Amino acid sequence: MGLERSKEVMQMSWQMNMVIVLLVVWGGFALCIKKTMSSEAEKK
Amino acid sequence: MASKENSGGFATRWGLILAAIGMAVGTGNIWRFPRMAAKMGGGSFIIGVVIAMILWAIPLLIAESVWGNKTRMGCGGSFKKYVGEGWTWAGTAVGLICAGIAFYYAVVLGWCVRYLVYGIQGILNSGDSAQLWDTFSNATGAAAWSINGAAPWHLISMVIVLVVTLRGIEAGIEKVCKVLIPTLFVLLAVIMVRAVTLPGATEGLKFLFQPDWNSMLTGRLWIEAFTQAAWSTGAGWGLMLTYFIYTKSNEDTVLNATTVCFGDTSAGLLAVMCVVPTVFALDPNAAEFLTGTSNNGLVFVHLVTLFQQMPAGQIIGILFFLALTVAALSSTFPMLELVARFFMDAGFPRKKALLVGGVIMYALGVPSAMNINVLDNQDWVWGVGLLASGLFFSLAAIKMGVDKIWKEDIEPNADLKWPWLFKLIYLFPVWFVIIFGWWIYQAASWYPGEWWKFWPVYDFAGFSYNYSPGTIFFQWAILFVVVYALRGWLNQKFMYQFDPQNPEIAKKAF
Repeated sequence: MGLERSKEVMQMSWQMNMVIVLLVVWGGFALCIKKTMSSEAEKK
Repeated sequence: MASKENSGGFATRWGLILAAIGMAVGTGNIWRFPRMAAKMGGGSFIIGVVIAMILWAIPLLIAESVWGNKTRMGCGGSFKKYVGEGWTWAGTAVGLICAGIAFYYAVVLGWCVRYLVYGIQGILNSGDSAQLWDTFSNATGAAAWSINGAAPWHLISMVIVLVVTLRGIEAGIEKVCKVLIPTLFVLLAVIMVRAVTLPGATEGLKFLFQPDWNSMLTGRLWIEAFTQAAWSTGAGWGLMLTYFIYTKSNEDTVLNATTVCFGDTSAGLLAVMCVVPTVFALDPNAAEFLTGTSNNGLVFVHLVTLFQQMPAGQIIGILFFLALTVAALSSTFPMLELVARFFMDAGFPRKKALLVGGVIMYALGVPSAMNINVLDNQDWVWGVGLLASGLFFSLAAIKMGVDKIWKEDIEPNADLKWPWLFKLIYLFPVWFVIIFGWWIYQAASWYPGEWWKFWPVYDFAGFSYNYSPGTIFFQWAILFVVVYALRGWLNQKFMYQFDPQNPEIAKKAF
């Protein structure tokens, strides 16, 4: 049971890490696109 | 249609952004990023690349954008006009270093096209992929000119690049990149979905994303992250400068540079999630496989073998080499434009400059097409040379006054008013000393006692010094001595700038 639980925690851990990396990189890109769209709309 | 103010340049900001992302996303995103991510601790390495990108690449790309936008001249001419006549030789060196890359990069594009055609022909479906690659890449002399050699594919690639660029910025590069770059992201996303749904692919994701934050305390991770950011984003190459010649006079530089960097890393992360899970799903020695191979070996040998074992592998293989071709193609357009810009700045009409630049780029790429050792050597010499290019931009910006440039030429049109992002350029000389010092130190250890040997490919005993520090210093010395000696002549020649009202003919800039 203890081993299973620690395996579960490990899995959560790499998944959480993956989410952080994806958020930083793809989220950063999405924010840049959003900001560009809004500034282009303002200029028009 | 382009606005009247910019009739010969990029018609829209999105066109510029897509072309600039295409410039940055190249084969390195697809074959180097996954290898380095697997080698250096996955997620922590990728976060390291993002930080390095902010510290290194964004300030340089902003500087390049300003140079191009304010002067509407190529590398040599923009340094002359923006920084002063004493810097023309440095700008010319920046352009020639990138040209050194352009010559062999067109050959790499040829490889990608050949493998795409191999995939369509079904030749990649079975057989020994190592033998196929050996036959293709080691063909020299007359064999290099056969259909299974690199030379004809190099020629085909250059013709494609020339045809697109001759159509102009808006009708050629912008139009094509508006299709190619979204296509590239879609292709990578499709391959990623297939990769992560293969049985056993989760092991690859675990390997990549198992937290190893301690690795962020190691110097090696940061050296590799900075190197990846420098080589991947195209910062300091002069390519962003070249594209910004053709932008509207009030074009933003800060947000555009940031978008390009995040777009480049996003494509790299997609590639990582295509390659690493595929390898883990299909190869029992996945970790060793990823960290022990070369860029060419990973893509043209190992992945081809894995595609043979994969359900729907032929289709995935074709999509993969299509993505690689698109990435390489969209990076080669600005390279030809950069080479041709030297001639436009000297007064050549656009079409003539592109034809002359195209012929030179092709002719000087032939040695790399005929001998892969020449290509490896040029990749090493001018790849490291990009660090020197970045140094010229940063020293010129510091000499001009970083605050002054920000206030006068960046802030008025900036959508992100973050002066600190540009002011990070002050730190560039520090990064240069560390990263350049590391690479030279490492290369010296590859040739104990012989690091100084400068002959680039083979000596009489047949031993190669492709990657020695000596070959770097020797070839750099030739370049710098020649451009410095010719500085007076260069100043006389670079007299013309892009005219948005008459894009075919450059107008007097001085």
